[in-house]
Amino acid sequence: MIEIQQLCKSFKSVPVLQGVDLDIADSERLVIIGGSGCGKSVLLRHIAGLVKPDSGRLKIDGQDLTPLNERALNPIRRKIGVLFQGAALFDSLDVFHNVAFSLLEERTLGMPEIRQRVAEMLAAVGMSGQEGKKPAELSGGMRKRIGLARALIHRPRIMLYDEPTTGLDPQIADSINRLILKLALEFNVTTIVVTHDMVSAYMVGNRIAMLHKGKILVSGAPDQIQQCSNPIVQNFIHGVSEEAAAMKMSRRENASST
Amino acid sequence: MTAFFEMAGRGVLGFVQYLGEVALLSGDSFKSLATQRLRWKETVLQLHAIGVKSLPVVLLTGAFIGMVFAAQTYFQFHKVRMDTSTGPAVSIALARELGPIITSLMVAGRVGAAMAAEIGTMRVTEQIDALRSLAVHPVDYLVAPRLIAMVISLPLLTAMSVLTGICCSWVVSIEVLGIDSAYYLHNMYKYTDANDINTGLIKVFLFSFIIVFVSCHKGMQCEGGAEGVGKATTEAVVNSSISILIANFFATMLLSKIIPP
Repeated sequence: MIEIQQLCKSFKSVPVLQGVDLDIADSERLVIIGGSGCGKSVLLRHIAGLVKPDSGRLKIDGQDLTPLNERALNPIRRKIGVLFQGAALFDSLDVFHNVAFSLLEERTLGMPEIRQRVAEMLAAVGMSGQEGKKPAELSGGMRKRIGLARALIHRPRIMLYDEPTTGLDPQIADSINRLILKLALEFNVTTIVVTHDMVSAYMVGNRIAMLHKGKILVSGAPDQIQQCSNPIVQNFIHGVSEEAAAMKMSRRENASST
Repeated sequence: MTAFFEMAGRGVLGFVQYLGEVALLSGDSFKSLATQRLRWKETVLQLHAIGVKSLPVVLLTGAFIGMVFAAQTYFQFHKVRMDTSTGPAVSIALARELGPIITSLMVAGRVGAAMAAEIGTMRVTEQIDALRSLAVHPVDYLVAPRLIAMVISLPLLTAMSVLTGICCSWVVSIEVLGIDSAYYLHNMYKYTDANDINTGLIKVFLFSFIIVFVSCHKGMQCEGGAEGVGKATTEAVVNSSISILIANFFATMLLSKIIPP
């Protein structure tokens, strides 16, 4: 269970999050949508324990993350897996060492078991037999799959995805969405996806929350969001720009006055 | 006038903040060394990158510094018929000042730049965040192995540089400048003692901390893509070099009280 209460964050006195309230239940698949620069990734990074809030509370399984220092956050981070926007694979390591990274660091399993776990995880993301490749030899979609395998290998209870389909062609994006869904159901993990890709949002989420001006504007099931009467939500999910919306509004006003 | 004081104040505050950040990184690194396991594989890779790969450039620099210093010393000493004092002058200068300073500046330029660029690139491509998300402290994984490797490598590189410089200065003095070898070596052994070498090695021990902390700090604070990495790399080399020169003066003054020349 993740509880976020009145979370605020500013960067160089520019407010990004201005009192976010959000509860995420275990095994839920939440998609956070919102315009570019609205603070979706910043919110995700707070949940991952990578950013400290200016004020507010963020609890995971009842434990407040906000007063914890870098080292004290590590036990909580072991419960969380993160897929970064650019996958953030370690350039100097091959695929095997990238995927096995957390297991090699923990040093609880022997090398044969680690090799087996890596092979299983690569099979789960459809990348079997790629252990020896360097990140530079992989395409964008392949990098995301490896990033996903790396994040999932220590069996986290919560998976965070930062724009998982950005920069991918529609077919690869579809396969990544299916993979996220499959892994969420197969490993029964709480899934939080940050995206502005509505196809991805409808496909992956069983709840969608929209972040607007640093706050959660609406939250609900995908069909509730589609039927939401709020014009900001409607404009966003149908890809109507602010200029087009303003023009449409003025045309409507002119028509009603004549 | 107000604008001047505002600018000066901002500069002072920025400098104090910078010193504070480097001090915090140093504290974190020592804490990591004391409480966390050392990553031996990373440390060995860094020993190779810092020590082995710096060896050719350091030896070449030491050789030419030794030769040119021998020649310049001879040209002046020859005027007062003190040709055979060239040996001790070269060996003491190399052991106490030139060897440590030149080696540290070469390593700061070669390795400090690489550290800032590598860590800076990791920072801007979210690899450092990925490390943190995998419950690994970046200081444990990135800074501690580099610190150990530098503390081992730099004194050894300096010793090799000084030895090469002395050998090359001997060759130039005997073969080119015509100084008598027996007197040259006799005077060198007579006036050069272990304290000269110890002074130099103590100083490079201090310089190794400066190079690692300044360069890693610049990498870790890097922002703004490729331009930011370039800026961090340049600043790492400039700041390390200036800090080494300043620290060298104070270390020389302090060590002269503890180990009299």
